[in-house]
Amino acid sequence: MIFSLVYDAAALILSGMPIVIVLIVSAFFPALALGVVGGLMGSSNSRVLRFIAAIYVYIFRSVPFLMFIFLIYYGLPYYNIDIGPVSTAIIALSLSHGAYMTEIIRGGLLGFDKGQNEAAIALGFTLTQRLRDIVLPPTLMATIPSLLGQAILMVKDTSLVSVVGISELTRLGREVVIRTNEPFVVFTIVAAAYFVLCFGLELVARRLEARVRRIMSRQ
Amino acid sequence: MFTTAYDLFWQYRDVYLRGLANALTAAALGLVLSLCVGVLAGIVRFSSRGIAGRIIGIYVSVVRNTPMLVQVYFIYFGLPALGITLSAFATGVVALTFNSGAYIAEITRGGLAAIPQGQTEAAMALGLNQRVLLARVLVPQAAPTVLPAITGQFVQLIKDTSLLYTIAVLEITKAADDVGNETYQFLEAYLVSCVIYVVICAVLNLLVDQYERRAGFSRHRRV
Repeated sequence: MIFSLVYDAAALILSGMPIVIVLIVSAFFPALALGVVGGLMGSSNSRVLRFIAAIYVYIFRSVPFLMFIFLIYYGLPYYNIDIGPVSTAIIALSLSHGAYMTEIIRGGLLGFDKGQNEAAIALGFTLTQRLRDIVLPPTLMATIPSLLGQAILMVKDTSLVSVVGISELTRLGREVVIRTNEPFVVFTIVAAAYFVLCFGLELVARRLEARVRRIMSRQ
Repeated sequence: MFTTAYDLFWQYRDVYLRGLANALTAAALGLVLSLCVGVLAGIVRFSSRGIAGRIIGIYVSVVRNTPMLVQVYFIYFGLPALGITLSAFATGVVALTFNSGAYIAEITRGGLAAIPQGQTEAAMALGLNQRVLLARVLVPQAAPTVLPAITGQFVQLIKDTSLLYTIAVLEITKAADDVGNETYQFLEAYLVSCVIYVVICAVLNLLVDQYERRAGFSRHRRV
């Protein structure tokens, strides 16, 4: 009996896995773009740009993620922008994790050898060329492990979008509990599903970290 | 929009302040308890290669790889099946402790591991036993270096109290929800809560800066 319960519950809960992966994939890259822009602003010479980046990071670090979901979900319709829960979740995830990635990229840029940038200026590279060919490739390479670490936090934050009615793992778990009245078993399955996802990402991050270190030391 | 938000705050200040008080209480209790759990677990994880260290390793890894919301649900809905029934607020404190304890354990272990090996070797050469080595040599040196990370954990705890909204504890997010439900001015109601969170973090950061300057903790003081 218990086995069939576990099997049925797991099958139902895991049907929420695709939406989690869709959310992660479609929020990771906008967040990364925000992080690159924010990181460049945060390490630029202009005091105004640095200030804007600092404010962005400060707000998104001090206000809980749940709050942003509500603000976007209830706020945007005010301006007659009608978006569904999935878009809400993607926007909230991108904005919030963009702030953390700003800090990661900024840290990576601090470690970048300034001489290379100055040499490129002396050789007459334009700003776009310098960013694309000189500054960003090694910086992104060096920050890949931290960025993947951020992706793990993102997976965990997707559990919060259940509050606006997206049927992901956590919400499905609650629905299965209502049907089966077996909260202990069901939430263990939910936790296990997240654990597999996050731990898998962590293993990838660790392996990449070793590889990145090898490549960086070769240079 | 902002003036409406201010009016809303003034009209429903009781709800917001009650939410604020609950959130701060839960976070403070969570911090104290998770410091006890976390520092102890971190020391055990650092010094034990045996089964105790392994169990703590599993605990840390489970907490880090599952969302806190699932942990809250597990404690609130799952534990009663084992005969442990907690009130919503108590669930919050337990969940915050359980979650933050694992992070503090990692911070503590990292702080201890960062102390140069020579310190341990010198202590051994002087004939200090394991307990004296930890209590008199390693922990006092690790404490100032981990302090900033632990205060960062307190900010995280305050943010995490927002999850207690899902089990109907009146904290800052739930306060906004209640006010929104009563007035139908959701955006403004949530804006008020956002400002409250930002203010708490600003005040905390100020206090931490002040304390660190007073105490003269800096990276260069050690050794």
